[in-house]
Amino acid sequence: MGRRTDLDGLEAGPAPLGWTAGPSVLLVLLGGVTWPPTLIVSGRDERMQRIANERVEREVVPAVRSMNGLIATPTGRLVSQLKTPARFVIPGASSQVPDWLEARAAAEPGLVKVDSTPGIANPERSSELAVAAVRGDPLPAVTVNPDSYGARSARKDPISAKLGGLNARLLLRGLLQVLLGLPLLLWPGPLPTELVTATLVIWLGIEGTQTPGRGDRPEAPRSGLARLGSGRHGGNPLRRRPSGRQPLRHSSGGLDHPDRRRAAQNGLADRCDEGVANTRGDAGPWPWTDCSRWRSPSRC
Amino acid sequence: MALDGLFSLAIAIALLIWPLLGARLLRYAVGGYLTGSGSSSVAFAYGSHRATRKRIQHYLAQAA
Repeated sequence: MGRRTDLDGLEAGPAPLGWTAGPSVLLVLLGGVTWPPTLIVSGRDERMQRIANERVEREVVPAVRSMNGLIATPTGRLVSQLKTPARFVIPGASSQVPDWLEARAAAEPGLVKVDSTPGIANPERSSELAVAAVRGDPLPAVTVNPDSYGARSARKDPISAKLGGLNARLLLRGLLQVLLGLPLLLWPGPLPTELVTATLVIWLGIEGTQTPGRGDRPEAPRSGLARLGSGRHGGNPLRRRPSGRQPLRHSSGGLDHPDRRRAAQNGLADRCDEGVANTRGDAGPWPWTDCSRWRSPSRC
Repeated sequence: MALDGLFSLAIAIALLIWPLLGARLLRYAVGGYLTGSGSSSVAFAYGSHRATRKRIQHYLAQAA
């Protein structure tokens, strides 16, 4: 109490009698009160941030290493490590199936080669077709188109291509708005009513036409069950056949298909029944987990 | 977006306070809004395009 603590004063001397603290002193005192908690909070935040970073690193780095290892591993080696039966949907014709996969499928009864049905070029583009192919259910005929989302995403945009990949819609919208707004700002004198009306009409027209409509809206992501339930044929395509359309003439997964026939000859049907037995709690000799998960017992 | 909202609010209040200046104010407000929004759209498109190109080049450089 014997010395002044006013930071504004360059000279610090003994406080005169009756001295009272000024505003700057109060600020310093308040700062002294508020600084330590601030420092504590900052330090705690910094530590928490570091801990969070380390936690994320612990979770992400092994996953990335696993993905790198997975990508770097040859596919044949990965397939050789498969413990459960699997179906491979090869896009394109059967001639594009690798030789090693052919040999593997021929040697291993648990692997069933599902080739593309003639007429369905890219079954992997349609989730319904892919699910049907994986499940081994009859694929629909040629009349089924791939998902519209894939087709739309592959649509060419010549304006964007000419602009070097720029978002043409956004760019045109911006340019048009600038062209409409500049006359309003820079027009000398009073504006003609027709010009204002035309500007507003064009502006509202642009906004109205560029608002995503029903046909222009990207397809919202749906769950697998919802997608299966609202297919082009209405309802689950795995359960309902398109009535009034072409009959199912050929399927890659039906029992009339050579692969399915061969699989049945290799004993897959029996193993499927064993899997059903496993799901029922019976002691089956072979855990056909995929079958019990993908197929209902009635379908097996 | 905050600037947009503040600007719109200021214009609306000014229109209420000085109704005689409404037409001119509305003209400049709409003109400014259109110009600003259009410029920002163009800038956003260009910036997004540039960022995408940079990112792709970065990924390609990492992959190589």
